[in-house]
Order: sequence, then C-alpha cells, then structure tokens
Amino acid sequence: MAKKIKQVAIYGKGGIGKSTTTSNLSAALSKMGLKVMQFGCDPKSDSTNTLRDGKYIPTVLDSLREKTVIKAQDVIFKGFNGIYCVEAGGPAPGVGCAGRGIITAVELFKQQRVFEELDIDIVIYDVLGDVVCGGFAVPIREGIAEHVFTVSSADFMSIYASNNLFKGISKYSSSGGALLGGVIANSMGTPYSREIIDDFAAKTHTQIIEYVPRSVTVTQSELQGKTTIEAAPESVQAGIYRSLAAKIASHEKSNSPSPMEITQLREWAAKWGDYLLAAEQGKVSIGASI
Amino acid sequence: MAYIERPRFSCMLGGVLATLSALPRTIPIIHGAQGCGGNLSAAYSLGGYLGAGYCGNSGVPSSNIGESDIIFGGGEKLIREINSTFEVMDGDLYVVTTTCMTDIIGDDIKGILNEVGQKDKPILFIDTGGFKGNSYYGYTKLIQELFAQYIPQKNTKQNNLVNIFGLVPGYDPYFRGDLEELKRILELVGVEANTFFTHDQTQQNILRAGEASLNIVLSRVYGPEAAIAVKDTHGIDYLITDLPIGNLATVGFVWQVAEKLGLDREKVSKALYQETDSYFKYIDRATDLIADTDFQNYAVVIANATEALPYAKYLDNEIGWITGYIFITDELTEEQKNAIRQVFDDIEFSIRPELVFETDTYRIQQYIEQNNPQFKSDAYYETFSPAFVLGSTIDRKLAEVLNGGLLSISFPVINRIILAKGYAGFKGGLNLLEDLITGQISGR
Ligand SMILES: Nc1ncnc2c1ncn2[C@@H]1O[C@H](COP(=O)(O)OP(=O)(O)OP(=O)(O)O)[C@@H](O)[C@H]1O
Ligand SMILES: [Mg+2]
Repeated sequence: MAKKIKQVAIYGKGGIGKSTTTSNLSAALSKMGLKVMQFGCDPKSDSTNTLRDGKYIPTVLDSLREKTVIKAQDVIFKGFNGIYCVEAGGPAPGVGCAGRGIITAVELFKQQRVFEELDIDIVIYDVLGDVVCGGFAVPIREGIAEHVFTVSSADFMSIYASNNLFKGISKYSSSGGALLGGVIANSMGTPYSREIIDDFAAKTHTQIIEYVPRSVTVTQSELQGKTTIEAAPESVQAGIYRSLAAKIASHEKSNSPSPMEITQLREWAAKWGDYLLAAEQGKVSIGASI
Repeated sequence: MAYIERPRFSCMLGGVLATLSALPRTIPIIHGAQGCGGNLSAAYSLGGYLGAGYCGNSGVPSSNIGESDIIFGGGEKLIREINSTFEVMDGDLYVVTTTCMTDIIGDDIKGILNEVGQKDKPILFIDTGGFKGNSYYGYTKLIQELFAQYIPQKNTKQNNLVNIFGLVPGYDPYFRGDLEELKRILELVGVEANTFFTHDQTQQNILRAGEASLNIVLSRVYGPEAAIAVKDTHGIDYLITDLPIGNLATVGFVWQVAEKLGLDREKVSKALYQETDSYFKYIDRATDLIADTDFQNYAVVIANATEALPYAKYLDNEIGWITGYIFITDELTEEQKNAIRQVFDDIEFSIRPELVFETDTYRIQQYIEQNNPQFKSDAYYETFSPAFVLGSTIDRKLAEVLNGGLLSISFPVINRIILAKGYAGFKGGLNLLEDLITGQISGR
C-alpha cells in the first residue's frame, strides 16, 4: 500500500508571517528526516525564498504561459536540505484571475501524481492571505489538504481573518474538505496577546498549536535569505520552530471549528478593548480573567 | 423564479449577437471562449431559423481565450483578434462583446480599444457578460449603447422621421416581416422609419437615428429604458406602445403616431381607409370558409412580454376567439409586470382572459389542467374546446393535451422557417388569419 502523504495548508491574514513560519516549518520537518514539499499558493510567489537563499524560482503559471503542456518536474526546485519548492505564481496585479491560477496549478500536481513519484511525506501549502475568491479555497476543498493551520497574531484584524477562514472550513467540512488543526500564534510579544489568542481559540473550539514569539533572529535570518533553522539552528527561535514541526508531524486529528458570528466577534473584541483600556489605567491587572 | 425547464431566451450576449447579425454590415467580435459564439448562434437560430445574416453564426470573430488567458488576462488575445478582424472582415461597424468569463476576470476592454486605436472604421464596445441578464436585456442595452457611442446627436430633427424599437431579432421571431409592414404603413402617411433591421437599411439609417423626432417602442419592457435614456442624450421624444396586429390595432397605432408627430389628419384618414378597405375585402373572401369551419376557438397565448397581449387582443377584438389564458414567459420584475397588467386592464375584451406570468413550460400545462373545470371532474362543463395554442413550438404538448392546433408565434420556433413573414399591421393580420385557418384545415 502506498504511504499516506500528509498535506497541510497554512492560511492567515496578509503579512502575518505565513511564509516565514511555513519555511521554518518545512526546514525543521526536513531536518527531522521527512521528505518535504512547500507549495506557495500566492501570486507574489515569494513563499519559498528563504529556502533558496532569497531567490525567486520560475512558477507553475510562468511555464503555463509559455507552453500549453507542462511537466510538474519542470517547476519543482530543490531548496535547503533537499526540500522541494514550488511556486504556483500568477498574473500581474490587476489583470486576469489569480484564483483560477491556483486551481490550475494545484490540479496539475494532483493529476500528475507528483507527490507519489517523489515519495514525499508531507506537502505544505502556503496560501495567500485573503481568501478573496473560490480559487484560494481550493487547497481546503476537494480533499487536497487534510489539515489547515492558521497563523494569527492577537491583532483584531488577524483574528477576524482567522475567523473567516474557520467559516470556510466549516462550510466544506461535511463534504470532504480540510479540517482545522489549530492556530499558530505568531509574533507573541505583549503580555496580553497570549490571553487574547487563547480566548479566541477557546471560543471557537480549537487549540493553539504553538506560540511563536516575535524575534530579531527571524529578521536577521531573513536578511541573509535564509530560514532561522538554517541561519541560526542553535537559537531559541529555531527550537520553537522545531517544536512546532514535531507537533505537526505527529498531528493526526483535526476538527471542524465553531466560528463566531460577526456580531458576536465584534462584541468579543469590544470586551477585550474595554479590558485592555482598564489595564492601561491600572484598574485591573493583566492575567485577571474577564 | 423557479428552475426554468425549457428556456425561451438565452443570455444577454445571445440577444446582442442575434441583434448584431441583423444589423447592416456589422461585425461582432466576441471576447470569450470558443463555446459562446457557437452555442448562442445555435440558440438564436431557434427563432424560426434566423440564419447568419451579414456576420453571424460561425462567421463571428472570437478571441477564443483559453485557460492561461483567464489566468493572465485575455487582453493580448483580444488585441490580436481585433487586428485580424479588421484585416479579413469587411464591415461598416465593429462591436466588441464580452462574455461571462472575461467579465469575471475584468479584462479592460475600453483600455484595449484605446490601445488599438480608432481604425478608419468605427469600433464599439458593449459589456455583455451573459450573467447580466437575458437576450431581451441585451437587445435593450445594445440600442442604448449605439446611441451612446455611435449615433451622433443632432439638434435639428427631421419632422417625419422615426425610429422603431422593441422587437428583438430572433427572440421576436417575426421581427423583420413585422418591421417591414409597419415601415410600409408609416410611409403611407408620410413618415419615414429607421428600423435598423429591414433589408433596405444601411449604416446611414443607424447614424441618422439621431435626427428622428420620435422613437417608437413596440414593447412595454424591452426598449423603454433605452428610449428614455435617448430622450435625455439626443432629445428624441418617445412613444411606448404595443405591436399592432390586424386592422383595429394598426389603425389605433397609426393614429397614436400621427398625434405625436402632428400629421395631417385628412391624409392619415385617407391612407388608413384604403388599407382597411383592402383588409376587409380579403376577409370577405374568407367568410364562407370561416362560416363552414368550426372556426371559433378557445385560445391560449404563450409569448414574451412584448407580444403576448397584442396577439390576445387580435384574437378577441379582430376575429372573435375566446382567449382563456395569456401566459407571459419572461422573467420580469414586479414593476415590469405591473406595466403589462396596466395595458392588459385597458384592453377591451369581450371575455377577459386570465393573465399569468409563468416561465416554465410544464407549469403552463399544469396551470391549465389544475384550473380549467373540464380537467377537474367528470361532471359536464363547458369544455375548453376546440382549442388553439398560439405559443412556441415547445408548447406542442399542451396543444395535444387540449386536442387543438398550434401556431408557433414565440421563441423558440422550430417547426417552420421564418423569412419575410410578419403578423403585424394589416398584412400581418391577414397572414395570421390565414395561418389560423390553415392550421385547422391542413388535414383535409
Ligand atoms: N515571529 C516573527 N518574528 C519576527 N519577524 C517575523 C515573525 N514572523 C514574521 N515576521 C516578519 O514579518 C514579515 C512578513 O512575514 P511573511 O512574509 O512570512 O508574512 P506572510 O503572511 O507570508 O505575508 P503575505 O500574506 O504577504 O504572504 C517578514 O518580514 C517576516 O520576517
Ligand atoms: Mg507569504
């Protein structure tokens, strides 16, 4: 029997740290001895940069623009520690349909049975921030990815985006779509950010899979065109990414989340707003439950 | 709206392509995938085998975009297609039309037309994503766009020049015959008509449309919007009325126009008298046969919002048939339905039919079966017989259930070819009488 390939999709608000987290995750999984493919589903096509010394690779859709038939092998590039890097690519901003591009790129790989041929253990899709149309939902539909993780900070807009993603997941959950593995809490810095994100996870019946602090090591590594795993393997931050990787490697069971309705979400945010204001004025101390 | 089981229209682009195929020396350029042009010409050919015209059916240039054009934008393909079209297709007017997918991806056609530049021939753009509406809507928008982009505004109007709108090529299957007859009648009272679609028309007629002093719209719902817009931009007054069929309606129609244009009443009376006289001389010849045959029928009229009431009115007012039901088969807004209801209320029927808005073919039959007493019990009722269905060819089943005849007057018409025939005006009224009688004696 063919081995089961684990397929994971990473979503989250634009600029929140999806590509950084994904690349470090890929690097750490690869270091664990797994055969990893990172699939960037973003027209910016910068997902795998830090796995390849900051360099861009030709995308699936670039090749499609040139010829009608393309072989998946032509658009797979090896990165750090032999990680297979793929970028879906897309049109120039403002023309065409990036969503259709993602559908085409993902389908191409599915049809050509590339994962089986390369004997891959785990595929990680790094998906563009805002799921603006059906195309960007493809990795969570049709059983392409089984597990979705969302990268979120404690900022309201980021939580809002995650909540929207949860809605998408619940919508497809009964028809073989992906389920939610949990939240990767990124850029944890302030003392209350952990409380906020914990509360959000509790309200929506999911879990925080890892807390990733904001760290200058990440920035330094990025400036060298590398992941933290590659550039600073001994750092605390690299340890956190390794811990994340270990959890995701052994993650088996995802769930259908319970997203909040929009009014509920606003009220929830307003309560936190009041609480933070009170904390600032010294009326309550952080850590007291609300 | 329910699920429409057998549609009696196609999409906006379908209406626009049918209309463009009926315009003189006009070349459409479709920006879309291969299927749109072919399928939509198959659809409009169901209007009595409309045919290709100057540039229709498989002759229509299309950018034939594929998946990668969808992803990266189809602009370059369209530019190539426009340039090739100018090279090989000889026309007086070129019209770029879009399709669902190019509308979804938002290709910037106006920008492209600027880039391609005005050639020595005019090229227009109409945004026709099929999902925007049906073929009738497409027709209305095209007329509006012709005025907005192409027809010059003229301050001085020609007193006795009118434009006629409201009949959609193919989807009003007898449009050309109807327009020819109305044009002929208006000429008798000294009025020249731009019809856009009759064979005497050239681009000059379209370009001169801005000099007309009246837009006559033969439909309560398809065209008024354009006429109102044109009144603002081109200062042309409008008359929104109904397709006149037979003597009474046509006389009424001509008087409406005469009043709007302030025509010489005596001249109009004289011309109408001659027409009416001739009309009844023909009718007179048919009276023996009419008396012979079991001619008085119960009727069901099934047609679009433009044509249903005019046919029902003819049957009642002109030949004394009893129309039991009028079914209007388009998707209409409540506002549009009210406009129709108002016209309906104003028609004098000896026996008032029931007016039903129903888009589904099987539901039309169901409606009659559930509402007509003869289908409800075995007790004696005045049966709906003999019956005659004036509808589409797809209403044949209903005609069979009613054990009556069928005359295809509304789209789709596939059991006859329609070339020059029309049912409007005096001649059309006679044509209709011929066909209704023939329908009953053709088995002899
Ligand atoms: N934990 C962290 N510590 C420090 N910097 C971080 C951290 N996470 C992300 N960043 C920085 O934030 C910036 C945005 O991150 P990244 O490109 O990964 O976001 P993204 O979610 O993939 O964005 P997009 O939606 O545009 O694809 C980068 O410069 C990255 O180095
Ligand atoms: Mg990214």
